[in-house]
Amino acid sequence: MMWRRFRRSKLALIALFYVGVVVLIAICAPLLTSDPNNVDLASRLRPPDRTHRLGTDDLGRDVLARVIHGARVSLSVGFAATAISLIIGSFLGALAGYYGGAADWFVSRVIEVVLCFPFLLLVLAIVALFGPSFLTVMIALGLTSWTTEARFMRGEFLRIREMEFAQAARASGARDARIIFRHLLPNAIAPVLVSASFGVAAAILTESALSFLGLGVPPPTPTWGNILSTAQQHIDYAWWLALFPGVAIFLTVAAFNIIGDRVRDALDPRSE
Amino acid sequence: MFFVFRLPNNEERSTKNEPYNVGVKRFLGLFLLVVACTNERPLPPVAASEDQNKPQEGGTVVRRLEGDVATLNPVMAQSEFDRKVDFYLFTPMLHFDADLQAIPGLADKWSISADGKQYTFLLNPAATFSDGTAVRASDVLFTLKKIVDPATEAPQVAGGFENFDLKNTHIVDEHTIVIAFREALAPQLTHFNDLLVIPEHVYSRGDFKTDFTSRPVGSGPYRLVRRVPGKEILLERRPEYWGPRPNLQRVLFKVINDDSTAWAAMKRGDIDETIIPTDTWVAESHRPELQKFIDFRRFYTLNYNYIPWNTRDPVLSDKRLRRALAMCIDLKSIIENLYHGTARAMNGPFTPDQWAYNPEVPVIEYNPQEALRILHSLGWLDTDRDGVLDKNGKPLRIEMLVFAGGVASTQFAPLFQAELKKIGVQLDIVPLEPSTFISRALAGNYQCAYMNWRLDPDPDPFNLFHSSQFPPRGQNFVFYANPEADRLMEEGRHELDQSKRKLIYRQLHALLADDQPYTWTIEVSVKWAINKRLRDVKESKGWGLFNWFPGELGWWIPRDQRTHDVTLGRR
Repeated sequence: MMWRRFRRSKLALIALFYVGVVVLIAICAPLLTSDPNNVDLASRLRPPDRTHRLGTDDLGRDVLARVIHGARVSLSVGFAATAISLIIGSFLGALAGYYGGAADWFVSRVIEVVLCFPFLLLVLAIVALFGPSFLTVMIALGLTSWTTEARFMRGEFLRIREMEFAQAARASGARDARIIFRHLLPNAIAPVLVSASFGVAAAILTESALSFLGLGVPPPTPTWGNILSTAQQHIDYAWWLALFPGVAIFLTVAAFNIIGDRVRDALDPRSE
Repeated sequence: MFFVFRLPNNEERSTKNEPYNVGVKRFLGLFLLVVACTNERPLPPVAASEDQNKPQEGGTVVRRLEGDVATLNPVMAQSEFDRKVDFYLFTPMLHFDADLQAIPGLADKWSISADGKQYTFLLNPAATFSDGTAVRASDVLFTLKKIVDPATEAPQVAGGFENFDLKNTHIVDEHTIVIAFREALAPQLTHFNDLLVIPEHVYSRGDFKTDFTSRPVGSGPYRLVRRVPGKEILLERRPEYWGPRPNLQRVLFKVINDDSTAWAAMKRGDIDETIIPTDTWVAESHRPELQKFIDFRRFYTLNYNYIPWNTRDPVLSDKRLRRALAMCIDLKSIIENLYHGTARAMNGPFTPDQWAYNPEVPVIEYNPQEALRILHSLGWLDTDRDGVLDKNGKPLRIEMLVFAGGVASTQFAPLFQAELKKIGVQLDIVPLEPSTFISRALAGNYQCAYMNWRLDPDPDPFNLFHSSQFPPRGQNFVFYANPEADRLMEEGRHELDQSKRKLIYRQLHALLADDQPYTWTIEVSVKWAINKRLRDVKESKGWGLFNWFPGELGWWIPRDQRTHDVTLGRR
């Protein structure tokens, strides 16, 4: 049903196809390109040509290889961070929504406190505290972005916990855990998944921003953000360094947003 | 010596942190400016016959600050940015001339006692602070006391006065002071360049550390008009200045962290001077349309890049291992390819421009095979065949701290990493933001790093390598201790005869190069872009364009090229 409605948007199909291709490329990256960390000082800052299809960076590394390997970091950070925030957010949101009262009060206050801090600043603080690494970036993003999921989940739970099927489950003597995970969660997850799709896009963007600031995944691991960061020092005479990772970020983030948008529309019973 | 670090790429952060009352301040600034302008007589019409080579008064120079100043309290000065602004607002006891020789500053005359422990200074009797009061000997004493007071926490300046002897220091009369030291040290005189005198009656009130960060009162030729944190600092010439009057009416510092942003501003003519990275210099300096209005300069200053090795680290405590790692740096290729020949290889703690330099010390040759041989002989073998050498079951992994986003983190560190990987040494790069970086380095909580020193005119490296100078007392954060080196450093700073000092430092140079507490890499020449409307921009020997006398105080702008005055007035 949902897929049928999703399919109606050509743009969303293209976006989905694009994401699939990028995921495939990211998985097969080592097969597709040479070593992205292969330094060759003699051929630094070369414009695109036959040997280096997208040119070379300031250490003579192949930009194509780096952009392709960068996809691995961007996507895995995007998915992992979203998974973390999904787990934390759903869990806390479900607790708050199901039990209400003190639990709701407490979770809501925690959400408010986390929301008080500017998002990027909080991420920067966590990364500065634990030192930049692949894991820290993932966790920092996950720990700071779960609030949206938690609020969605809480709202859904508030709505459906009094519905007949929930009451039926309760009346038949099911334990809380069973009611939450077995009956309510599957019915509440759809809008949260939509927000997760946007979350992936946001995580990719934030990871790029962190790498751009030099506080993302440490070198030499290529990420779209740190290629851009290098590009910025050479923007006047090495356009290829900025263009390709920039396009990669743009397309990927746009694709996730389009998919999220379409899923939301498809789930909305009022549309059409 | 100053930690040199730049904060590229953090424009976004600094503008976001801007306080909410900027608008108010800007409005206030506008108001002040209008008042200031109405007090000034209109400029006489430009005479066609005016000599274009004679300095003309007035005009505004727009300078770039690579980072915002931490404080305008000169005793607390931390970074080179602080010093850049302080130079206009305060007068040091002694200035340096273009050859970095001491010349009168706030002190007109000075003499040193026969035993070298007492310095008698005669202050310029005309000198006044910007609040109109006269500069007195008691202000000098007050400043000195503040510098050496441990509660002030002024590590950058205090190091030069650690032997200060308060008991034997006395004020002779209103303009004469005898400053005593417990020991006679050869570099002592040069440290009086760091003594920027502040008025006692202002700075003794309130909290010394926090109250004067944006409220400077000094005896310099300029005074502060406004400061917008993270954005700009506007200075104006004091009409009643007691010394030789500088030419420029106003100095506007714009905080631009990022090099490419600064370069774009330079090309638009928004700023008058900026340092530029080597790659920009190589790509752009030959373009005729830029050469028309930009003067491209390149010269060496007293600075070098180096890898500090934490000698307390169990692995890095062996100098043979440090040497082996140093052999994996291909300096020749780095200089040719990364710097296009605009840098030179270092062989030890002194640069070729310093008299202490020992030309006979060899630069460590690039030789990875030999390095691997040494590591094998030290027992590092790849027993588990994972590509990384190991000993007693522990792999040879080293962490290198770098400033996040700095050129070192994006260029040198990955290069070194790739070279070390070839011989089976794993280098992990840890990018950190500057304050974390410095606190970890000073706490000895690191293995190695990539850094840069800007050196003092006197070569004395006591503060960096003497075993009494471990942090927090000094800056020997590699925890280097060698009795022979200690002896040479003590002898060197107590020897007042320069030709004898030279011999001592040459020995020291060879010894330090052999011990490798640092691996000295290269000295990069600095590249500047200067708008051609700015005249008489001269270089000193070793310190570059400013912080010496007259330096930036001698700059001027021809009357017909004062484009910035219009934009200033419109704000």
